[in-house]
Amino acid sequence: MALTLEKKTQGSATVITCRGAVIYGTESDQLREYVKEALGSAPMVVLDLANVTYVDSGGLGAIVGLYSSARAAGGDFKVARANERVRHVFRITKLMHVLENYDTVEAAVAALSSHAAA
Amino acid sequence: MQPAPAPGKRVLVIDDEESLRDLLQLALREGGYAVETARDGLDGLEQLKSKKFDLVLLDVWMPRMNGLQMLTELQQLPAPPRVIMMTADHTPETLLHTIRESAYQYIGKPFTLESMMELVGKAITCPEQAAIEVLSAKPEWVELLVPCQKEAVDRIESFLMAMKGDLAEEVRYSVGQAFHELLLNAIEWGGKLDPNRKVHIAYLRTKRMILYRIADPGTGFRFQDLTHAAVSNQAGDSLQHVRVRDEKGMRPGGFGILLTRSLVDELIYNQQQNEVMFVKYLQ
Repeated sequence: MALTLEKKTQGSATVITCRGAVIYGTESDQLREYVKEALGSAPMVVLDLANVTYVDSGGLGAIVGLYSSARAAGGDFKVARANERVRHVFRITKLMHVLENYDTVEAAVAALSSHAAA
Repeated sequence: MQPAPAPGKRVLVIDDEESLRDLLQLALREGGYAVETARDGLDGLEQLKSKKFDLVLLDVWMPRMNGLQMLTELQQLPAPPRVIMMTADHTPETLLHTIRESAYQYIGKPFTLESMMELVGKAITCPEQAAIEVLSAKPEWVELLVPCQKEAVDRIESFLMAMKGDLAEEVRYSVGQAFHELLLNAIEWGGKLDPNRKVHIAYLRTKRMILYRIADPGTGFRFQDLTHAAVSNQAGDSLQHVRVRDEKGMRPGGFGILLTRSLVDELIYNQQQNEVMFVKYLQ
């Protein structure tokens, strides 16, 4: 399934909604370009994964790369609403504590705000 | 629905179900494609002999000439178009016939228009595909030679996943993802994405297990050299390999082997490490 992306502003954060599969190739390239553009204007990003059906190694690498880019730019990056299958991928690759999946977009945005305030 | 990535391309829809023909014709025309329809294989073959098509959407079970016979006939044409098979028949015999006769990809019925349009877009725009060679086509023993192209991964996955329709969803998912990761590694690292080189895939199915063996044309590797892979990360530093990849200018990734180890029951490399085998035991 192809990847479609939409973004909206919520408080000081950019929330990017993903739909489809985040996999090596066109899809992960597309995600990186899209989020990097958003990071240019505001390095506080939430990736809403509620409608992501599948993440492979390349897709996971792209998400982790964006996390690193946001942190390097002095911002922060959280993921929200990942389904059980995607959370399983985060767990077995030991990324759960890095990516910090939140149950709601609002909770992820609030977590970003606390990072900004800290 | 997304617009056609290559408007004006010609698509022939062959299905004995009139309502499906009409629905696909409408959707494809709205997407910018030029579309013709045929109600069975004979009708379709006649059209293919008189007009040029870029893609054929082909049903399997139809009167007069079925889709499997048609697929064989179609390969005799001077410039056969790409073919997407669409069927509710997931038997290994049907699937293996479609691979052997060079179908581009397979989509199970029922499907969504969105998924069909996406597949059509991929089939129309993807680069020239080297053939997948079928060395063994027994349902319990499949052997293939697959060209080292990224697109070949999607193609072969669609066929092999459909063959596991009787398995529990979680088993299908685990085996599917493990195969995806290891085949990508073989094609990208072993085969250097060179379509003239081939990866040898063997799939064995018994009552109690599924076994895959993937042999790539590369020189192999050593785990101690894989500092760019998550499997080499020190405890407590999940991003160690990400920094290495950044320094080396490598694309994001490196989680494949770590993922696969957790998804299957056995993962064994040969000494040179250009061949890998994995097993998933069945209940």
